[in-house]
This record gives sequence, C-alpha cells and structure tokens, in this order.
Amino acid sequence: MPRIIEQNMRNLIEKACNKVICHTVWYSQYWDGVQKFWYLNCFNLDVVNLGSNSGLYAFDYNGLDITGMNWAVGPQSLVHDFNVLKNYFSYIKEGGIVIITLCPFSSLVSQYSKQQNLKYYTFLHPATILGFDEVEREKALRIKQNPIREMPWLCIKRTLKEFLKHIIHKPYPKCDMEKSAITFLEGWKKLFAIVDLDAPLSDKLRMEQENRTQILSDLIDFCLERELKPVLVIPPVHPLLAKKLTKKCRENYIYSFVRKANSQNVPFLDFMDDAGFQRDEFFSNAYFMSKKGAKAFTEQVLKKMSVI
Amino acid sequence: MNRTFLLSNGIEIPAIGMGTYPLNGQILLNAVHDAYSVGYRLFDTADNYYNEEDFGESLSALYKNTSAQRDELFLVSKLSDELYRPGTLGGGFNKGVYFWKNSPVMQGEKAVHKVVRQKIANTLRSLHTDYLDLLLMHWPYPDYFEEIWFEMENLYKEGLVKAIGVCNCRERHFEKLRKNCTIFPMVNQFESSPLNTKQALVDYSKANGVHVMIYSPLMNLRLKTSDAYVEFLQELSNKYHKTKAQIVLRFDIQRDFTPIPKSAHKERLQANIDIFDFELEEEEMRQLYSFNEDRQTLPESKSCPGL
Repeated sequence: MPRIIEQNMRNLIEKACNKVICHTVWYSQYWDGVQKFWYLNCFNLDVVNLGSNSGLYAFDYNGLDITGMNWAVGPQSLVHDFNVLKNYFSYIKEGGIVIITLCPFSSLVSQYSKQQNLKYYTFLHPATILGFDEVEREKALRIKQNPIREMPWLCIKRTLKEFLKHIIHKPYPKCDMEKSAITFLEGWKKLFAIVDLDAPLSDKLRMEQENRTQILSDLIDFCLERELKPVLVIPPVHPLLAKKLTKKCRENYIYSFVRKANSQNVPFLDFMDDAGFQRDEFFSNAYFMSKKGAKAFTEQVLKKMSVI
Repeated sequence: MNRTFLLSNGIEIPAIGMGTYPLNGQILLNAVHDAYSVGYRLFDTADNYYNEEDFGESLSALYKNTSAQRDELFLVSKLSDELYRPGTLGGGFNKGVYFWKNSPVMQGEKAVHKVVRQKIANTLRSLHTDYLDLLLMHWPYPDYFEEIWFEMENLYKEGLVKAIGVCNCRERHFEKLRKNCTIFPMVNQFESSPLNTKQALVDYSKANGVHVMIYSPLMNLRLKTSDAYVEFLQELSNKYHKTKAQIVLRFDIQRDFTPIPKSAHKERLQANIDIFDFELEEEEMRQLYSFNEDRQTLPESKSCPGL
C-alpha cells in the first residue's frame, strides 16, 4: 500500500477511535472533568461555582432559568479554584455570582501528584500552573489531541471495560453511608496528617491555614474588584458524616478559617446540617451529592440568594 | 470626516490601520505593499507575533520600491509575553515567559527594566527604525502592570516612542495607573463591535483623553448572531452599496475609533479602507448600538489571567 494511503488510513482510524474515547466516562474521569473548559463558548454567565469534588457533585444548573456553569474540578485546592477564576472570569457577566465552594478541609494544603496536575496544562495559562514543567505540558497536550496514539493500551482496555459494563449493566450497590463517612474521615486524616480532629491544629497545619486564609481573602477581593458577587457555600453532607464532624472540629478547620478570610463579609451559606438535605436519595455517598441532590441544592442556593 | 484622529499629546493617528497577525514572509511583504498602495499608513504588529523581522523586511521593500517614507507611516508595536510559535503544539497560546512573577526570566534584579529595554531594542532593530509611533502594553499583566508602564513612560520621555498606550484595559486598570503615573495612556486597544460596544469603557476613555483602537473588528461577522443583526447590516449594505464589513468599520470610525482589520488580500484591504465616502445616520448608529449583547469573541482572561 502506498505510504500516503497508509498514513491517511491510520489518521482516519485514530480520529474515529478518539471520537469514541472522548465520549467515554473513563476519559472524562481521566481529565477530572476539565473538558468543559476545552469547549467553553458560553459568555455572560449569571452564576458559576468553583470548588473541588464536593462542589463538582453539589451543583447542577440544568433546567433552571439561569445561565450557570459548574467550574469545580476534582480534586482541587483553593489555589487552583482561584487560578480557574483568574483564567475564565471573562465568561461571567458583570455582576455575576461566583460561588466559592468550601469543603471541611479547604483551609489545608493538599499535595498534587504529577498525574493530578496534568489536567491543568490543558486549560490554564502556564503562569497559573503550579510547578509548570514544559515536558508535562507537551505530554498533556499530546494526550488531549490524540489519546489513542499516546496511550493505546489504556484507551483500549478502559473503553472495552466501559462498553462491557454498559452491556451487562449491573446496578450499583446501595452505598453504606456509615462506612462511607468513616472512609472519608480516615482519608482526610491521613491526607493531612491529623491524629485528632478535635485537637488544636499543629504548627504545620496552622501555617497552612494562614496561607489559605490569605488566598481565600484574595479570591474574595478579586471578585469584588471585578464587580462579581462572591458567595461562600458549604454544601450539605450526609447526616452520618455531618455528625462525625464535631462542633470543635468545624470550628478548628472551617469556621475560624472563614471568619479570618472573610473580612469583607460576603455571604456565607453553610448547608452542612441543612434539614432539607437529610435523605439518602440526595447523596451518592456520605460526601458527594447525587444528581437529584445537586439539582435540589442548586435551586435552594439560588433561591436563598434571590437569583431565581 | 478627517482620516486621522489626534492623540492626547497632539500626535496624529490614522483613522484606520492594518493588523498584521498572523501574517509573515512573502504574504506579509505583499500585503504591506498592497495596503500602502491603497492608502494605509498605520501598521500594527507586536513582539509576540513572530513577524517583526518580516515586517521590517516588508518596510524596507516598501521604501525601496515605492515613494513611501518612514515619517509618513504610523508604526505600532506591543510589549508582550511570548506565544508558543504557530504550528507547534499549543501554538498561538501564551507561554508565560515574560511579565509573570513565577517565570525564571523575571527573577533577576530590575527584570522588568531589562526585559522592556531588550524588547524595544529588538523591535526597533527588526523594524529598521529608530522610533515607534506608538508602543502598547499588550495586556495589563497583573504582576508587573505598573512597573511596565513606568518603563514605557521612560521610553516615551527618551523619544524612542512617540506615544504610549495599553491594550485590553478596563477602567480599574487606568485608575490603578493614575495613582502613580506621570503620563496617562494615550491609547487603549481592545476588541469591540456592535455586538459588544463596551460603552462604559468608551465613555471613560473619551472623558480621559484615551483614544480607542479596535482589534479584530470584523470577527463579529463570523459569529452566529441574531437574524435581526444580519438583516440590518444587509439593509445598510444595500442602502450604501457597501459590504457588511465596511458598515461595521464605518460604525467604528463614527465612534471615533481606529479599527485595525487584518487582510492579506488586496481587494479586501481596498474595501476595508473605502469607508470614508458615506456616513451612517444617527438613527442607524443607534440601531447598531441596540444589538449590543456584551458578546465577547476573545475571552481576555484566558490570554491574561487575573487581568
């Protein structure tokens, strides 16, 4: 076969494979859902929310009489929340609302693996990527452009697996909320090296919190300077998890942090124990909201802010 | 109507110019020649267009092959961050090399001063000239905004540039500069069209003696827009026997702006400047304004995060 035909055939097959891959769930998860920024073409947004996984699963603007977008990326720290906003605020209308989603440990510094950092190369300006590395940028863009060429085995394996799952269609087992709550708590304790959630913060954590306080405060200022309306929001968690986050723990990690950072006194909406979100159906696990929960919660937040 | 506007320092700026991004090589050389021959005198480039040297060669050819002289031209360039080269991975996007706090290039002492001096020297050398008519800060780089402006003021005072200005600035940027600057920007270059009139910024600019230049003035014609807008442009087009592009450019001129459309085709270059023999009526201008939907075509924050 002449080389040119072979090359064209190869390109065609790659293109077809990439089209399939780009529509799979695993590929979206590979990029932590940042594809929404690749194709962003919706201007004059009325409301956006930032945040990590908790924000990602807590907001859904579909079906509401408002132009909103969920800009949360999971996992993500406050620093990158700020960087996402710095890169994309031109899409928000003047006077638009920026929901800054806080989670129980937003005030601490989480470490990124190279893989977790890779996604940022595909949608952020290089100056706003922590530890920018040209090699990583090229890697990320090559994978984004042509996943089947860059990681053929992973693509084939994961796509086939997803396809089979789709055919066999086993219903998800019901989440054991108690177990899930413990898993999340233990995970956080390990991630941030916390022994006792009720004990005062260690020196290291206190320093991290001071740093994050400044970032949150700067983030609020950034919005106000650009005539955007920032709102701090803590989404609901399942009551079994909420119960484990004691008063003392919340004061240590959330409320004192918010008080210090929010000297501008922007609205702070805490839904962690909200009576309207106690039912299992609102959660897919102890920490993340279900689709139904996200829809109800988003509506509730916007109503509270008199937007709808 | 005059084919020039006056800047706040008394310098005359042509009412229309030619944008040069992303032209280069022979295409740029021909376009510059054609543009000059149909009446363009303002040419707009930037240090990150990767075409300053080719543009310089184009100017040399122009001086050699026509009666063109340097002092009848109005050369505009900009101080910018670097872009990834077009045609490479991520080509056309910002590199974050210059004017960003975390860039290794900016870590030394007096980094902004050194970078600005190096950039202006390169630009002047590439364009084969010893002065620029207008130097713009390409973006209000948040980490060094005021420092870059301070360096630009010095270039102006030394006579290396006849006028200085900014691009993509909002009112808050000007107010920030006002606190410490000794020279207020003479020009602000940004994107605008009937779909995105930025009237508050325009009013602010007029009140403060800042002349407005418009980049990508015809981009709005490529967007999917309301039928009413397209139909109205068509109506005006029929009435004045002009193209839709000419109507939009005329709209800019009547707002006292200097648009800088880009084209490499002689017919289009000719058409784009052939807008001084008709005038849109007040009611037609009003109706064009009514199509404003604050529609951006180039999201500024993606090019300059935190601006």
